[in-house]
Amino acid sequence: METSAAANLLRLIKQLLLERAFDGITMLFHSAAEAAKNAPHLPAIAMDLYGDICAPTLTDATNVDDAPLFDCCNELLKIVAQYAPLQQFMLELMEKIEESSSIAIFSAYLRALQVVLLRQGNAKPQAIEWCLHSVVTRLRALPLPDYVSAGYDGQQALLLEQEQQIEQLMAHYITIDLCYQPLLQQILQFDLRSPGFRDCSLNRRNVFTCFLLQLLDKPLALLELSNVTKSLLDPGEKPGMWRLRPELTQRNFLRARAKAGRAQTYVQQVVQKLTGDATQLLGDPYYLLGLVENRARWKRRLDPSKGVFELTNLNIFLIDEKLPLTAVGMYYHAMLVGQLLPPTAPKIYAPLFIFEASLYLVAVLLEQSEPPLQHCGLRLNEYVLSIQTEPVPQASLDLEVHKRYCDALCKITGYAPQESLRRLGLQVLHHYVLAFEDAAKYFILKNLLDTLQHDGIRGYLAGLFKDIVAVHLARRNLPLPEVYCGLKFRSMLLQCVCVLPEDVKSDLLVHSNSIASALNVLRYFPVADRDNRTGFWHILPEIQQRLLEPLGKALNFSLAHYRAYRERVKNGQSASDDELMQKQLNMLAVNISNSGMADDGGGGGDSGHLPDIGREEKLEVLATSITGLESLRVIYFLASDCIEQNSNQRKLESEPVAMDLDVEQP
Amino acid sequence: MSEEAKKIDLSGDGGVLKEILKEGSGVETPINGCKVSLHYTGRLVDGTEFDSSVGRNEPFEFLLGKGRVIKAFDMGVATMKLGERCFLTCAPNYAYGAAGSPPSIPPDSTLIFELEMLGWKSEDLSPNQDGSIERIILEQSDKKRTPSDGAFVKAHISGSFDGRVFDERDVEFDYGEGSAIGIVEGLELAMEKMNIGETSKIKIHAKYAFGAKGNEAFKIPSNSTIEYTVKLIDCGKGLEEWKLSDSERVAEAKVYKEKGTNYFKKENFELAIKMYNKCKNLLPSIKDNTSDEVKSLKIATHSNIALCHQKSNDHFEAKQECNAVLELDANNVKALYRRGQCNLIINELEDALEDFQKVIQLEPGNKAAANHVVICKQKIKLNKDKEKKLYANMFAKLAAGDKETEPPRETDVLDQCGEWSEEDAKREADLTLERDNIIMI
Repeated sequence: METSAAANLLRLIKQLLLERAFDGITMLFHSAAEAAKNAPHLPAIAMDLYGDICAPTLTDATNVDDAPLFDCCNELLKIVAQYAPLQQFMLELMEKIEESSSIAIFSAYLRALQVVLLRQGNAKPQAIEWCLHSVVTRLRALPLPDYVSAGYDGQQALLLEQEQQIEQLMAHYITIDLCYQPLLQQILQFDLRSPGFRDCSLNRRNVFTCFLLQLLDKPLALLELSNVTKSLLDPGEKPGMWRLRPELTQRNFLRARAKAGRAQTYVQQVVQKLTGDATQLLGDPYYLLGLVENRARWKRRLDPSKGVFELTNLNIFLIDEKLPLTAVGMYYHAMLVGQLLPPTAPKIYAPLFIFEASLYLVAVLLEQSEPPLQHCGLRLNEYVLSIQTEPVPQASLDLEVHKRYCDALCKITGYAPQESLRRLGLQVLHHYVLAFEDAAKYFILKNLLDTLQHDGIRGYLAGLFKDIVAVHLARRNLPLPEVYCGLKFRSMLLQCVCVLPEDVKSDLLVHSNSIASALNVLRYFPVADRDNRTGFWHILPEIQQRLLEPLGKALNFSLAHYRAYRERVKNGQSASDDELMQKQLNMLAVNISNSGMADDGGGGGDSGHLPDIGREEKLEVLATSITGLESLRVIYFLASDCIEQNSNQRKLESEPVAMDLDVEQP
Repeated sequence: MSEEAKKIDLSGDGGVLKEILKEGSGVETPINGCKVSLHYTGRLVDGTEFDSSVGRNEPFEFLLGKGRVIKAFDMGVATMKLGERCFLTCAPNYAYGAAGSPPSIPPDSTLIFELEMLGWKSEDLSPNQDGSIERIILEQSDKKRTPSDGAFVKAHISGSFDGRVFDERDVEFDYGEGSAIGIVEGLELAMEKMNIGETSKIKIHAKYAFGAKGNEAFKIPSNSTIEYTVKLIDCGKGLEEWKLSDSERVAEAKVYKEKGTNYFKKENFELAIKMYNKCKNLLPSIKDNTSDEVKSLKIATHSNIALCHQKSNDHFEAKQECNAVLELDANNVKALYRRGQCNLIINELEDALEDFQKVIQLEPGNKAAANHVVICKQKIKLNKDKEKKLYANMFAKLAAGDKETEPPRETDVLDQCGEWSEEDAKREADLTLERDNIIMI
């Protein structure tokens, strides 16, 4: 009897649909009297309704050609979700969500999923997790413009949300937000934390937390550049005091916070919502930071014989698949850089702990191939450096992550295609070095100068070393730290700063930055340290022998070569000239970049034939090279002069007694 | 008693003062490394509340003594008993110092915390976070270096069970090879997370200690939880693989190969496999490096791993390794012979026969291979006879089934085969289904 009534209801609905009596269908379930009569039959026919009506009708074609029918079936699907067998229907929804071809279809099935998950309650968290995973999978499959992954600049970032594909993506995110809100409320109301220690097992609350954090990962993370305060995105300001005072960047962040809320982009709104909701579920927003080291520092050894598999960790937040570190990184980026920390966040965490733990996340973000994520990593690092109240101790450098971080940071600073990224990288590197205590600063600089190949960064770091020593030299009443004088100072200058990599054979143009920095260092110390507090004057003879003398020769050779070569090009170059010149150069064993000669294999760098370009271009390149060498020679003369003058001055200052004695001689 | 007198000076310089509001129960206090759960409310001296776990409606949890919270907090909490409530007055140098923590904590602020200890538990170091390896730090260290794979480790260990010390000694080993000197897995796993200079008590459940076997020499019964007190005296740096050039990789790989061979000679096959695997992973990829040395090292390593697996009776794994050798050198006699042996044991008789025949083809005088060919052939024949019987009975059964509605119960062919166990029978039945010709029948 009941079966036939249910079958009749099914037939009736189909008939009403055929007749396009959509209001009639609505009446069947929304009018109190009808609903009371019909609802009891729905469990029996729910899957039929889904299979015969909803699934075939909820298509893009119907949505475009017959919107009222689509809407009706959409409503019907929601009703079906209330009565269909949970597990079976969940599977259907997961498949449909993953395969949804448009936001309309996605929304329709997501609405149904919301109903199903509300019905499910906090039982079977694994099933809930799979359902939510289908949503994440769909998001990740959405097409995005290539430039989002390849990197974009500040100007492009401002127009990001005008792009149709990004608009679609944001529509998906907003829909998801609408879907999970009632679930979130249910969890916050009913899935309360137990009074003892935090339960990190697979439960609905934790599954939802991971889901929200996963949403912060790619693709949303790729759009984060639109979420930058201008001062950070356009670091074209004068490098004023901030260079030596990282804490000033903290003011930038606070200013950004004050401005928050004004004309937020969709990306900002979504990030804010997701971050806020995840924080509500987590309670202590720093909780995950405490787990980062465990995940990133020590590799978990899988051991099937002891039941240790990828997913068997009883703490769900330690499983990479459930909570990727990039997602955690983006959460803390939003929280700290985006100033979304709730006012109730604990304030008793030690800044050093936040720095060290976040460094793992920064390293992970910097190691990603997408420039927007690298940007986020740099900004997170910059923020965390800005909150340090005391110098970071040298013991911290025992953590392997510093090496990993420096490696990734220097790669970005030296070789990132985006200028803004390189520039921010250099700022962060500067702040990073300055954040440490003196012994550690020295250690980092020495290691970087020992290992880095990028001449520009090497030059910058040499200058930074000079600046740091200068600060201490200026404090005349305090002794110099051990690392900035004596043996350590000598070792830094002779081994890392005042270095001509291949003696007189060095390619001066390839190493021009570091050579210029070394010469500047040699201009500075004779003047600033006439009292020889650092021990500079003791090592000067060695510097002269190792750097200045070969450099003088190399500069002469190179300039002579380039000028001669320029003349030959002006007068019409020939291959035999090249050969002859190469032989001469081999005899002189000078390896010069852009010399137009075949590489003798000793230089590395760019030395080789000038590309086959026109005479004028060739002359232009040669002129640039000559200008570069001439600039170096100017600094070289300045440094030599400076050393000579101050050396004489020192002699005069230290020899008055001898002069007196001379006078006294008959 | 004056109010000042009631305050306990925890830092010795008046920087951290504690005033007990309610005595706790028992005598125990949490030890460094424990996970602590408590409620706190932080106020400035003017009474402004800047932070409270009570306001968040959830207890605050953190690892004690690890520098995760401001110094005063670590110091104060370590002195609290279960259920105790106290005030903690923290001078700026034990809190946020001259800089403060804008905007809520102004520069040079003295902070007053009201604390209530709710409980604590040991730090869980087990891979599954199931409490099977737990640590309590007895002596904290400021250093942050921990042993990494392959790094030299120097430590003092003292193992106890039921209050009795069963193992006390200084140990020196390369991390990852602890089992060679009798260090249980749980202890080695825990040491990976210890800083140089740290002394800790490690509680290890049976599965990471002596397991179901127990240890006769130490008089440890089966499935026993044991405890070790360890002081990590020193540790070196592990191998920094990413820094190595190809030639350095080969050199390091040779070291591990040598280690593997040493463990093999000592019949410690598990460690030998571990070392050979490290050797294998260190070697540059054949795609990037086509030198004969790399290739012959790879072949030797795979071959040795195969032998170790054979010795440990893991014949499927051994076969995989032989396959890897044969991918590099299709005519490698040793690998063919070993694969033949594995195939013979796992009952892949046709494949085994093929392997041994190829060995003879390459080395016509190889008697061992010739013997194995004979064995293979015999076994194949035997199997065929068995199959014949099996299918004859199956047909008989089917024919009977056609005639009778109820099949006779006693026609259990497998029982009649005598030597087969139930598992073998099931496996054989599965195999028959997999064979195309039989499916056709």
